[in-house]
Amino acid sequence: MNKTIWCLLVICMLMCSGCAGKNEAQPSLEELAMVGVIAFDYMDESTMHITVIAPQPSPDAKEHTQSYSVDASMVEEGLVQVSAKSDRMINLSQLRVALFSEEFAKKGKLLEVVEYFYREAEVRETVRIGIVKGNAGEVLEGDYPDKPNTNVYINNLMEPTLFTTFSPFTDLHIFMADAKDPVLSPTVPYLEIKDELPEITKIALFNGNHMLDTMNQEDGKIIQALSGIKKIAPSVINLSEEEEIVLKFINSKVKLKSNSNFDSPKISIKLSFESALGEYRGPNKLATDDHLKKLQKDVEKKMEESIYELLGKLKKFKVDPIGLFEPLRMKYHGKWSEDMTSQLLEKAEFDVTVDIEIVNIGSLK
Amino acid sequence: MIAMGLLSLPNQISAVGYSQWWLPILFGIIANLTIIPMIWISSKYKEHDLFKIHEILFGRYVGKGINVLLLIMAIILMVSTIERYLEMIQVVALPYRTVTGPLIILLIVAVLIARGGIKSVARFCIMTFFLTAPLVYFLKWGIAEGEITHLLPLFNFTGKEFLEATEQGYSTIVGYELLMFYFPHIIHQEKVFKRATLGIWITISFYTAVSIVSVMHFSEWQLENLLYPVLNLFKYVELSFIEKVDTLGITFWVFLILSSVAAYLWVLKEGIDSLRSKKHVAHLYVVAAVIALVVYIPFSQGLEETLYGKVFYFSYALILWPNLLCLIEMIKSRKKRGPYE
Repeated sequence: MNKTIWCLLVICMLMCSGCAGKNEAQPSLEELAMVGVIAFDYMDESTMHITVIAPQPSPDAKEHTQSYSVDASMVEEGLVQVSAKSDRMINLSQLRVALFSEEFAKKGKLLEVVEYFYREAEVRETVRIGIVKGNAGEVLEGDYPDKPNTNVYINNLMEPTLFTTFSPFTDLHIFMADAKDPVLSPTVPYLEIKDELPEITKIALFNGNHMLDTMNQEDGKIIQALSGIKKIAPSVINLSEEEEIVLKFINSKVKLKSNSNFDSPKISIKLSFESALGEYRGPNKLATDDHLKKLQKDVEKKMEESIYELLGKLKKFKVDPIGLFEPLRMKYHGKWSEDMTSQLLEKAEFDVTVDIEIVNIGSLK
Repeated sequence: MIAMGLLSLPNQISAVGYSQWWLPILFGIIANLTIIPMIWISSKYKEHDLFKIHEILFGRYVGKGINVLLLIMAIILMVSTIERYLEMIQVVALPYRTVTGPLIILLIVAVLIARGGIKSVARFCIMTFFLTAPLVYFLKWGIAEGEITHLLPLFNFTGKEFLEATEQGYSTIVGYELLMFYFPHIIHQEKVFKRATLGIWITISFYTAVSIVSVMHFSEWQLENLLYPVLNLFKYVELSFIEKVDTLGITFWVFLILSSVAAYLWVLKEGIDSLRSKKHVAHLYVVAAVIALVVYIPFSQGLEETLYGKVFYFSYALILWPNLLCLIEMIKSRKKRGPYE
């Protein structure tokens, strides 16, 4: 008897839940616009232009992407405005990419927005950040007829693959951590629209919150290698007019050492690569050991030169995206400040050694 | 022991910056030392819990007075735990919603657990351990995006910062003082020290793992400013089949909350039992109702902060309290022996 009553009760509970009234706070999935990409453009000191795109699930619609844009002074305000325009409620829990225009970043407004996202529990920390040359909203509103859906396309574009490891692929957490870390300053991928398609062309250098300048892909690769990334994108190395080589890196290791002297700091950088030869153009035969050794030596020298060049550039900009002084910080007692990093960078001497081992040359003699 | 404390541990001890990762080990040593007087006093009165011991040592009325104080403080402690958890649930899992429903359900489940006596609380704790321990796996993503070099230097703090961190951080591992209340129910009383030590060090190993990963993963600014660093570690997890592991992790956390709330509820019930000198299940419901009521009373923000922010001092006092009891016990037993000599 008792059991029957329980069974009936459970069945009733299951059935009756279907009759529940509409709840505005928790709409069903169809009523949500899951924003995948959001873009910010600079209007003036207090307003920004926000563009969002969300996938259109209905097969009846002609376009697969819905896009909205509004002007607002705060992000949340903008989202409320977008919801008023849209037939569905804006939701940020599926956000993957946030793009900012170069002007927005140079005016130092980036951190405000990133901090908002970081505070919002709904937004994941793995949302990737990108800087766009010119207008960021244009990237979202662009027409990409050969791509399935702008949302997926931009998300995939910002996803790291082996060949794009010159770019740092900064996400919210990394940007926050680096921007607030006195030892480091963040770097962010930099996109340009070329032939109507967005493309990661450079990396943007930041000083705390303000974007300073951009660096090219080769510098980006070195920065990545120096900050301890194991897999680096293949790299073209120009040895001389008629000699050129492409190296595929299998593994990279970096070791930073300091002389523990804060008055005349000296950092020795040892970078070792295990690599495979991808392509070669030049007078030498590859099969002989001597030639290969000479090639390794030449490449090492060339790389050392370009690292010194990069360090010179960083000294000029007075930023350190690598964390060169981490070995000094590890021995320092007291609070480390940003001024200390820039002072150290100014007086620091560097000693770079690159060690390249070409482990294979492919399946041809 | 693990409840809200672990979620905010790396934040609580952030005053010492990156050097915080070995602090939990220090806490473990302190905890291990402080259980010695607890076990000593409890094993003097094998049949009685702390409430009864108070009455024996201080006399009927003073003892009861102390017990009343104990009960009030324990209620505030519980309310602060529940309220902090609900606050976080609202932030993470149920935005735009009131927390009345979750509060009532949480309390009903806790009452049901505590109704079965200390045995059912203990069983629930064991289940909780096996359900939540696998969450440690999610630390992997934090390690992947972290710098091992953050672990050095070891002693980069001033004495003041160290004291501040200890004061704030030790509150995350209190809870083992309940040992004094359920001691009479333990079957192998002679093995208690060994097992309590084991328990403490299992907990400490979790704490140490979490703080090491937090130090690697976060920068100093984040450690100081993130309210729930563990939640952020959950948020960094990327699995192909689950989007938001943080919601999963935080809802699993309810087991940890329930096990400590149920344990405290049981202690409160025992307290009222001994106060009125008779056992009754209704005491449990009364306690639960009082807690729900206190959660609802709209204290001013300032009062709430001082109340909940300072309530852990009570736990510290309770942890050190057995030392005093031991002293009184020694004096008393010597006095008793006195006339015969």
